[in-house]
Amino acid sequence: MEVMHTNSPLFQIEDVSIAYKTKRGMLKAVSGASVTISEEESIALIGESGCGKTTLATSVVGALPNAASITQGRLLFRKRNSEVVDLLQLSKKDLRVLLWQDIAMVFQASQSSFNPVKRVKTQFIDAVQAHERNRSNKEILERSSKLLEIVMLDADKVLNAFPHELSGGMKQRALLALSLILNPRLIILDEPTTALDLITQAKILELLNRLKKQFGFSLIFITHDLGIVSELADRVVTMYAGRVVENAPTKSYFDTPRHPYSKGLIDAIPRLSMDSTHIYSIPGTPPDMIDIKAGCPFAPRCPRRLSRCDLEMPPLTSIETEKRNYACWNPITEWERHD
Amino acid sequence: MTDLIKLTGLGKAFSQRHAPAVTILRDINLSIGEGEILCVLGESGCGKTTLGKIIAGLSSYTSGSYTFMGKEVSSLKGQAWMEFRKGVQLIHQNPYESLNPALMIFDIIANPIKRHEKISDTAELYKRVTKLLEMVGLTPVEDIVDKYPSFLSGGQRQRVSIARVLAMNPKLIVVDEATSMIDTSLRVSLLTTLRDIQEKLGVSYFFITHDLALGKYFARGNKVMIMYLGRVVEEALTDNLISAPAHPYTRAVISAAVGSSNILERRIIAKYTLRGTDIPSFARIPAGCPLHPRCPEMIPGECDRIVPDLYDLGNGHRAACLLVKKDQI
Amino acid sequence: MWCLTHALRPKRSRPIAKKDAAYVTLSQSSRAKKLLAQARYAILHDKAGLVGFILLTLIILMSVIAPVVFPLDKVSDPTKILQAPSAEHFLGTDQFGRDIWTQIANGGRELLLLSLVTASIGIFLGLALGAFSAVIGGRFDSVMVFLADIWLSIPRLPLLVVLSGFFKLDSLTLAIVLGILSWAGLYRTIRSEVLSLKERDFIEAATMQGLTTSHIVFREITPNLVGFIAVNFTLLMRAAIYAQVGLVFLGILPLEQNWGVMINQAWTQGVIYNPKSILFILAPTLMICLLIISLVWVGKALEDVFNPSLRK
Repeated sequence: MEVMHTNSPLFQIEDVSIAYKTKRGMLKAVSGASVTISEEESIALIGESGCGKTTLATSVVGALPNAASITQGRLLFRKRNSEVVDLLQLSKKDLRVLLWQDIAMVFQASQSSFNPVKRVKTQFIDAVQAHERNRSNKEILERSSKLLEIVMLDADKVLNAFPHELSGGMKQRALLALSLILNPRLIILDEPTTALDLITQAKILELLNRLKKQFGFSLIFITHDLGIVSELADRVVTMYAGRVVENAPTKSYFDTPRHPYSKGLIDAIPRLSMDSTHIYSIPGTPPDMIDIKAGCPFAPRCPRRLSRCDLEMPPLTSIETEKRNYACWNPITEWERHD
Repeated sequence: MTDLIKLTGLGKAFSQRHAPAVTILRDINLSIGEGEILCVLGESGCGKTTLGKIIAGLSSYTSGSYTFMGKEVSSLKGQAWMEFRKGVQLIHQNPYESLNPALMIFDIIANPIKRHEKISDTAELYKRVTKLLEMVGLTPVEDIVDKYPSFLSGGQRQRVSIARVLAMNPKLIVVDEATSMIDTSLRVSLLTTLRDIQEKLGVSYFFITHDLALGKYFARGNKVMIMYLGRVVEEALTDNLISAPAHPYTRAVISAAVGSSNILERRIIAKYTLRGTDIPSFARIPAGCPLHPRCPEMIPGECDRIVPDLYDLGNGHRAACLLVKKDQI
Repeated sequence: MWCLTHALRPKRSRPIAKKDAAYVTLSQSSRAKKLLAQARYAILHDKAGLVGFILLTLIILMSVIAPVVFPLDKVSDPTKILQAPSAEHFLGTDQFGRDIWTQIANGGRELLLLSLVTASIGIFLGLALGAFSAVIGGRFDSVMVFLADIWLSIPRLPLLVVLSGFFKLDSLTLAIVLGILSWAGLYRTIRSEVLSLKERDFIEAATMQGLTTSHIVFREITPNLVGFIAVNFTLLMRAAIYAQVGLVFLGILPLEQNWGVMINQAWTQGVIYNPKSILFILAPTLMICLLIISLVWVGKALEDVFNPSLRK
């Protein structure tokens, strides 16, 4: 195991490919995805249904269903003692220790993440004791209360309640508090604000920003909502048909998207503060992930398609100065940006 | 312009077995004319879906009046009831649940045609179904007609839902968050289809959403209504509501929608947040103005006692806020 | 019987001109073909289903051709009592000197037919009562549920034994009675399925389209129950076969020619103590097991194919 300096990345997804076994054949959900996350950085993993973002995230915590297998790649995580481990090589026991203490994941549809027949405080206690057996209930509840207050919940009320007594927004915040209880260095959120109304959503985003600064964790959040990306992310990673097609700092991403798909996503959002006369949808549908054709998967729907795009998959091109990369034969250049 | 539907003082209360009745909707007043769009915005659980179902005739109302083409809906029977049934339709939010998984797309769309127009010849039905599928952009028709819903994507299923609704020749379509379960890059396309249909057939829409930007886009040139805890708190022409929101709740929603990063949206409104974080439940609605516990401009002694009416700001813009009333004087 | 065999036999596909394709695929005959094609696909792709299907076909085939190809020995031959298997009688002979193999070959037909009758009646009653009960609701529903609960607590076999004391039960009557007696179990399961189906959006949509209640029950809800029904049909057949065999074993039913009867006779003849003629009891037992297993496997394969949420 290598020992690296602390300015090296916290977590590196290196060339990961994941496939599912289905009746029709192998479905390649993720192909050669690479993402690097530094300390105290927050990354938005975006893309539409079927692009592989949720599959990639669940593979990190080892929660993939049985039909899925990671066919290649490494998940390199730097532990607190600066030792770098490949999560895929860890034994189930070692992985479980690492999870929650260093990496926490909050799944989508928070309605089903809490055990409906146990009170919330029991679940907090269980979660901590699974990793730190010698903590007393009192200690755990004290810490839980503090965290619940930070996420603006009435600690007493929430701890003593059953999950169904809490609203969607409250559950989401309680789960956030739960994920923070062992002070992880990386938190993965899957669609953190779906099904929440705008006001609650804004509050949770604000909260996450504050918690980030206060606790210093890194964040990967998965979403299809570019609105929250602009509020929360330091950098945006776009996936399409299982591949990473663009990776850029947030402002650069929105100001000058290089990949046509990114531009398509951005152009498809109606804006509140501006006139929405340039909205258009991306025509066509995502490709079949079982019967993968050669070339760039976005080509059939791309307005900038070249003949080369149908033949060869473009590699990731980096722009070192801007700390971004993209995979496109015909990217949008600086002076083509529309106003 | 003659009103297609008109709700006056409409309310809906649900009775409970061992508890007092819970009132979900209170004093709803709205009207939609032919070819008009009314967008309703509110958070999940504010009653907008219940209102949509009442308008579509899928749920009953317990107080007030709801007239369709001048006739009170709760007293319709027989032929007149069937006219209403056909005249107001609803598109569900969840495309994965709204189509019968055991039926072919052809049957899903042909069933209402068979029932109401008494056509049984397959060739004739096929022609009609083809026309409807073309109108919603599901072409080539041969690829869709004999498939089962599980073979179609979410967006395609929503289009089938629209085609099915159009088979009834409705005058008003309630669109219940029909895009929230579809990928963002495909939403606008669906909305464009709906507006095209309006242009061709003159249908009206009751558009329910919790996404303000989407509502602004779809209802441009038309009206928007904001709901909170079962009441209408503000209504105005779309542009006026966004540029000059009067009700504190509306201001908070717009502020939340534009965020603070200035990347995707410009800050068109000063940051405006509500106090507290949680929405009271319907069983314990606050006295007076329902927003008062969370309102940053609450006037003690007034806002917690008086239930504000919708006060007029001119140009069809009305807001249920005592501050607005004060400004009027 | 013959129709069943013919329907289950794999079909050769015929090419259709592309421009007529879509329109043609919507006609009644091509929908039926589609359904059969789906069933065929399900059976061919599920190992157990395939084995079950082959077994079932063989049993049916055998039952069909047996009267002609393997006619029963009509006369008894005292010189050949309880013989061990030989070239002429390759399963041996029974206590009257009759060939056992022909009895096996002919022994399934009745069981199959009668269990079909029972299952059909049971399914029909359960479906009609359960679906309408769930859709109509109210007092009708409450009364029916109460009745069904009471019914289910009545032990069936003793009831049949008692009934046979009062009426002469021949096999066909027994089959019908068994069918009627089994309504309660299916009623409850179908009712609960329909209750949950009723709440789904697409049923609300059907209401919104002004479709009639009978349309909703038969053309919207029932197609979603087909897989359920297929599996329960085979299970009912299984129960009917066991009931028949059991009753024959107890000596309640008159002795006609089927596997159950053979077991009864073999048992009373003490065949299990005689190693040479043990096949007399083993063969029919094995045949019954094979029949039941083939029904269960085929039912399971069909359930998967008709389950709309698994359709892909």
